[in-house]
Amino acid sequence: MSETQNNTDESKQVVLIIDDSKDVHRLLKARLRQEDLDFASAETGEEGVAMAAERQPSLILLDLDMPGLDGYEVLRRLKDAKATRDVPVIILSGLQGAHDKVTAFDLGAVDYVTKPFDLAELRARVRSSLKLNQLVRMLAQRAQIDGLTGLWNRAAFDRRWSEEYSRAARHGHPLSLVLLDIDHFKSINDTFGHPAGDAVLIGLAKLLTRELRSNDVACRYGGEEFAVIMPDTGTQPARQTCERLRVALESVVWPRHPERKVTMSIGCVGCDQVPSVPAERWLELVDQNLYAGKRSGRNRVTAASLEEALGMKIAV
Amino acid sequence: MAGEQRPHILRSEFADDPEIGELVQQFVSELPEKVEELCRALQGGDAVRLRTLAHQLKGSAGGYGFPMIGEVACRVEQCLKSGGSPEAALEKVRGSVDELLAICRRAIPGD
Repeated sequence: MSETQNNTDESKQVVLIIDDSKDVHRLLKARLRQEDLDFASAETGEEGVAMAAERQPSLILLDLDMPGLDGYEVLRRLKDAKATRDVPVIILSGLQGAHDKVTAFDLGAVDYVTKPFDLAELRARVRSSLKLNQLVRMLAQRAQIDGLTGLWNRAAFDRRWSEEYSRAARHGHPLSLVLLDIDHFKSINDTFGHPAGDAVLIGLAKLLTRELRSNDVACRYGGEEFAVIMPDTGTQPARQTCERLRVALESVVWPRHPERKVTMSIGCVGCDQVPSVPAERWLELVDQNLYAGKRSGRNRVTAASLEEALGMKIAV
Repeated sequence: MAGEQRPHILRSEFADDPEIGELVQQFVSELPEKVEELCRALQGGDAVRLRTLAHQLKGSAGGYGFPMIGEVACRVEQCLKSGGSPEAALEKVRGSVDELLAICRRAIPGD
């Protein structure tokens, strides 16, 4: 979920209309007047992309058949940028073939309305998208869940890591911390498009949920980075689990790019007794292991006990 | 009288719509300008401009209560899309454009 979205529940939601026809702008605003929205208008694709980043709308209505930068390209750019990636886009178009619709959905549009609009249909789809978006954002914030993958988000991770660390510090139970970072993720996005990148993130999240135990805590830590807290797990079993995860991801055949595998680098630091360093330091050491793995070739697990990691002896 | 359609007059379906009544008036008042642009484009042999104008009209006319204008505009656009040289396309499209101009001139917002 974009952290820069700042539409609170109290302020009006903003709908951005990107269409080269002034007539369409006027019509849409008039027809959506009763929805209690604010509107932003752009008459070209370029203007639309810039305005979307600036205004952070709750919904974008995008015309596909504009001269200049065409609608598909606008959609691509919107989905490629972090600031606008999570804004739902409804396509407006005179094109009616199923192929066009599939392309639009594939590029990340949430809905499709053909021109000339059926008024009731337009309103219903706009309402539905706005409502859904609002619910997802609320849920993501309050449940501390990452909207895309369904895993715990970074805020939840911080809280849970602090809790598990305290438990381990108090009782000396084994505990392991893992950071996973997808290798060459940017190139997957660049080569196969943003929806492919999303599919990888979602796929990895599913894999983690499937392979981990119920009391392991899997989180989306960053853009292409994940964290796993493994309570009651020492270094050795954690290392084995990490290796299992690494192999599992490598074996996945991705529908969008069956010829291109996805791998990840994994850093892991475990402790079988009361930890000798604070939680933040432990996290730093895991990070160091992760990046050692990246530097020495990627697609590997770099695991160590807390003592080994402190002694700068990294066991692989 | 509502519902009575005199053949030489084309009334907006949304003439009595409180939401967009004023916009329909505005749309109709701007139609003559669009008609002029269409004429200019046809006479000047500007197939690209003609197609753009037809396309825009196709996308908006229905929303203002003139689906027939939208349909004719669609025919104009289809004619121009179907390939061949610009000169041939312009010849073929002449009839449809005349039809489009005629129907636009008939449009009124309401009574």
